[in-house]
Amino acid sequence: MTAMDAMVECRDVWKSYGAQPVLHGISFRAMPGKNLCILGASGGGKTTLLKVLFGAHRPERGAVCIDGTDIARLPEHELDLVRRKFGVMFQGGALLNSLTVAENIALPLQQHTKLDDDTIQTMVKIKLHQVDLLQAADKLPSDLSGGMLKRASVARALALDPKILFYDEPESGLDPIATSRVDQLINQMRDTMGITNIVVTHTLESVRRIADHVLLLDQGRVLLDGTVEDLLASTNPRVRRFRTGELEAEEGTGARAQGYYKDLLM
Amino acid sequence: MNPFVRVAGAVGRGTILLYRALRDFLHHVSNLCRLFGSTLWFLTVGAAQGRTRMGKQIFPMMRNVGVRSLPVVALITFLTGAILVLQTGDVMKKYGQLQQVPGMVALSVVRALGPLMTAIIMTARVGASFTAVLGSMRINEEIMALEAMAIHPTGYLVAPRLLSMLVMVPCLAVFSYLLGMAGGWLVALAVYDIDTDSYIQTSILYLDMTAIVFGLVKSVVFAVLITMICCYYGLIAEGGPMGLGRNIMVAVVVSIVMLVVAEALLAAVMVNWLLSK
Repeated sequence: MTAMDAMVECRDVWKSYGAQPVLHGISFRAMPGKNLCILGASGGGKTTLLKVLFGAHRPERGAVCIDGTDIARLPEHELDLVRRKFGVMFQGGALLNSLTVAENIALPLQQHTKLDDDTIQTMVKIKLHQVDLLQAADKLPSDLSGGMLKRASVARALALDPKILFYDEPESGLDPIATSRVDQLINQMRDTMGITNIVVTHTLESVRRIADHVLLLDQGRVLLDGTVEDLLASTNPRVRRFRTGELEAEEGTGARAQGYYKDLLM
Repeated sequence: MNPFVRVAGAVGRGTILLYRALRDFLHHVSNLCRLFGSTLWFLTVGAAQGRTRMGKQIFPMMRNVGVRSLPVVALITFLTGAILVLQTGDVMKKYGQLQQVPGMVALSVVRALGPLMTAIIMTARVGASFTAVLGSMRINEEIMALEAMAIHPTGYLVAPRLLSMLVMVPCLAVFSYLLGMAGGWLVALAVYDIDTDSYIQTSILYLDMTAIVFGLVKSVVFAVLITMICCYYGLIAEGGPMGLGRNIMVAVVVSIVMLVVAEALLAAVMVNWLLSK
C-alpha cells in the first residue's frame, strides 16, 4: 500500500478492435490532484485508452480503477454512479447542438439532481464563470469558436463537481493563444479545485506547460512512464524520435512502409 | 473451366451471400427489439422511478411531430379522398351504384388509406429527421458524451420521440379520416351531383366502431415501427456524411416496406375477425 491511493489506475489493460490489437497490457497510476498527460503518435492507442478509462469501451483484460472502483466489468447501472465522479472534454466539444451553452451545462444537473431551476441557473453561471464564458451562455454551440467550444465542454464536464476530468486532445485545431488559454484552464482546475486531470495530447508544448506526470504510448504499449524531465532527457531512440516529431511522420502516413512511391511510379 | 465446377461455385457463393444477408437481418431485428424494449422500459418503469427525465423537450417535439405535420397530412389525405372518387366514380355510375360512393370512400379512408398515407408522410417528414438528428449526434460524439454523463441516450433521445409519435400519429389519423372523406365529398358534389346530406348519411351508415378502432390501432403500430426503425438507424450511423446519408435512405425505405407489410398483416387479421363474427 502506497502512502496515497491512485485516483485512476490501470493494471495490465488489453483492448482490441476485432482482430486489431490496440492496447497491449497498459499499466499506470494517476495521483489525485495531479495532471497526467498521455502522449503518443497518432494511432498509438491514446484515444482508445481514454475511452477505456471513462467507460465508453470495455477492455478485454485487466483492471481500470476509478477512485477505487474497478469499472472494467461493472454492470451499466453501477458504472453510471462512477460516471458522476468524472467529466469528459471531447475533442470537438460534443455539446448538444440543439441546446444553448447554458442549457448544455444545466443538462447533467437536471438529469441527476433534484435542484430547482433557480439553483441550477446559478450553478450554470458559476461553471461558466470558471471557464470565462459567461458572455456566451445563450449562444448555440455552432456559434462558438473552437477554443470557446472546448471551454464550454469543460464547463459542462464540471457540472457535477467531478474529482477527475478527462480531456481528449484539448489543443487540437486551436491557434497558439487559444491553446495556451486551455492549458491555463487545465492547470487552474488542478490548482483551485484539486481535480485530477488526465489529458490526451500529442504536443510537447502543452506537455511542458501542464504535465506533472507523463505516459508515452507507442504502438499500444507504455514506452515511458515518468516526469516531463524524464521525457526530455530519455536516450531511448523511439522516445527521441517522438520528441523530434519523426515518430509521427513515420507512422502517421505509412507512406514508405506501404510502397507509396512504387505505386506512384507504376 | 468445367461447367459443373462453375455452377457449384456460383451456388456456393450465393449460399454464403444469402447466409450473410439473413445473419445481418436477424442481427438488426434483435437489436431493434432490444431498443424497443428498453425504450418501453424508460417510458414506463423508468418514468415511474423518476429516472427518465425528458425535461422541456417533449412539448416542442410533439408540436414538431404533430402540429407541424398537419398541413401536409391534411393536403395529401384530402387529395387521396378526391382521387378515390375521381377514379372509381364512372365505374360505380356504370353499374348504377353511385349512391354507394360515400360508403366506399369512408371505409377505404378509415380502414387503410388514412392511417397508411399518414404513416408514409410521417416517415418522410419526421422519421427521416429522427435518423438525421440521432445520426449526426452519434457522429459528433454527442451520444458518447451523454453516456459519459450517465444520461442514457435511449431514455433521453428515443423515449420522448416514441411518446410524441404515439400521441400524435393517431391524432393525425383522425384528421386524415375527416379530410379524406371531405376530399371525396367535394368531388362527389362537383362531378357527380351527390348532395351533401346523403353523402354524410351514407358515410355514417357504412362506418362502424370496429373500422375506426382498427384504423387507430394500426396507426399506433405504425408510430412504433417508424420511430424505432428511424431512431435505430440513426443511433448506429457511422462513416461521416456518406454513412449518415446512407442510413437515412435505408431507414426510410425499411420503414415504408415495414409499414406496408404491417398493413397487409393487420388487414388480414381484421378481415379474419370480421368474417368470424
